[in-house]
Amino acid sequence: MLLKEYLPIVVFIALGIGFGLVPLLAGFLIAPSRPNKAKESPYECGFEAIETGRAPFDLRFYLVAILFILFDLETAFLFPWAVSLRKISSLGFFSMLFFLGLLLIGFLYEWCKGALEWE
Amino acid sequence: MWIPEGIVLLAAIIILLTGLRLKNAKLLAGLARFSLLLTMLATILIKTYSWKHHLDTLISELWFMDHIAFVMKLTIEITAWFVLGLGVHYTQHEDIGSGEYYALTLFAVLGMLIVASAAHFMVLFVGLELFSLAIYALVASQCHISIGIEAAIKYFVTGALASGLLLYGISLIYGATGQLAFVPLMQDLGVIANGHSLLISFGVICILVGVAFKLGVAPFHMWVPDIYEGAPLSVMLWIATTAKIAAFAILVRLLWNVLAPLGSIWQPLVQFLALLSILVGNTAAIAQSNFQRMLAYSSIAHMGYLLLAVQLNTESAWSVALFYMLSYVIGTLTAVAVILLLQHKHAHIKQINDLCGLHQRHPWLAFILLLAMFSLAGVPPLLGFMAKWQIVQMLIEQQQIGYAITAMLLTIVGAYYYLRIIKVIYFDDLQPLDPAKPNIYPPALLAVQPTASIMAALCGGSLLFLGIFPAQLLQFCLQVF
Repeated sequence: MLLKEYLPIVVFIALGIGFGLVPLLAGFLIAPSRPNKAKESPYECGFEAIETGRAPFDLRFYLVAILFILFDLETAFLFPWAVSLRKISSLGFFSMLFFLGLLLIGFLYEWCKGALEWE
Repeated sequence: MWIPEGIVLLAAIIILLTGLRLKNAKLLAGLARFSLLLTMLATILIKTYSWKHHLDTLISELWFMDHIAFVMKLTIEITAWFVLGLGVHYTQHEDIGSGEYYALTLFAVLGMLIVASAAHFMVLFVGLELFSLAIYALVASQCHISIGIEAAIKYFVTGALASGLLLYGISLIYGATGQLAFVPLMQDLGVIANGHSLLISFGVICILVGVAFKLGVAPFHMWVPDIYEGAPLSVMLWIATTAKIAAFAILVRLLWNVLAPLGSIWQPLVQFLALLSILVGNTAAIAQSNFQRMLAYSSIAHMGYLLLAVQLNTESAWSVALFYMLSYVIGTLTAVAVILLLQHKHAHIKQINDLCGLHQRHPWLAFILLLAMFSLAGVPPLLGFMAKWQIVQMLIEQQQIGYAITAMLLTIVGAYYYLRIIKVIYFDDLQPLDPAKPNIYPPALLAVQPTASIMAALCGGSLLFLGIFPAQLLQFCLQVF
């Protein structure tokens, strides 16, 4: 089996869990704890803590969030591409340009459609 | 090599951008259909070129250029062309024929073409997602009708689950063998076929379940009737024909080009899926009063017959399965074409009873619908009969006489609901929709549509012609595999 090759992934998972747990535990153990009512209540930016779940919610929040994720992921592809540009030859270079071109068309479409205007 | 896909992509982009300003649905549809014609031409030219020059049928382990890819692509393009042509008036009338509608349609075609040529798990998955996502959005194109939204969300959730299962199966196979490309993977699987591990059998089962969802076979069929009923008729036709061919292409690539050496794992499962689908589809269709739901159960039953050929896992059985697929697609195309022509502004045809007395008003349309129903039921001398006969003959040759008898008995059960439609259109009297307006009868023409009428007649005629002279088509299917 090829289990040995998966060792870096195990290390990665362990590090990931560690990064999540250690600050939480440190905060729990080290920080001074003086609770009051305002601190204890759950917080969600801009909304009442407790209200009906059927409140109308502006769809544009989702639209902006989805568009943000799309173009944020683009950078996730661009970064490793830029770093390894010397190794992947002109084929790699032009593949990325093709991908960026397709994204550009999507961007043009959403712009002309008015998805970027708030009002 | 990628010219057909390139044309479709370019046309989709042009339609998407021009659709922002241009509101003429007819022009957009014309552009989409013209690009599909160019794609057909390019597909044929590339095939003849590579055949003459004996080019490799595999490009860098990612892309097949073999006969299967050619036939799948051509059938996908032709049915897509028919579906678009038949739906032009309907989309205009329902006000869904925007630039997005046609761009999404072409993106779906692009995904299907990629699937048909995929020689690598990742290429296959990208193509699958491309066409699935486009179709989810198309189902929701009437976003003011709640039943359409419900259908789109159901389709999206079950489709995402199916994709997840498929991907999980692929990852298990990759974990066991370290291969993603089909050709080396099939060689590896051939070596370990007799002593395979639990990991591989679990992966094969996950892949099979994912594909069964996409094909809509029992017991993974629960989404099919709701989506058929909720989607706009032109999109329903799309799901029932072109998307089914693409799902069949996925089945061919996965079961024939990769997992064929592991037949001992999946053949019994496919037998089970096939028999259950035929049973569920044929019996549940009897209870339906909605035409679209009835067609949905009919498609479940037909996919069952298809799998009955697939489970034999021989070259000739796959050819017969392809032949069956073509007969199902032409039959469904004909049936829905007639219904699409009959959608009047004041009288939508939803229920089977809305077709009462069609024969008295539109004898030719009634006759075309009769041909479609007889073909789907499997009555000689139509194409559907030849297809069923080929499958039963194949089963008997392989000593699976029990399956052959079961399939035929359930076909008789299924004949009931096809014949009921013929009874309604030929022997029931016209009924005015609204007693106050006695002039408006349900079976009314949307508009005079010469092109769509000719296309419907062409489909119906080919059912009859290919049923009487099936040899050429059958020979063609036999050479594919």
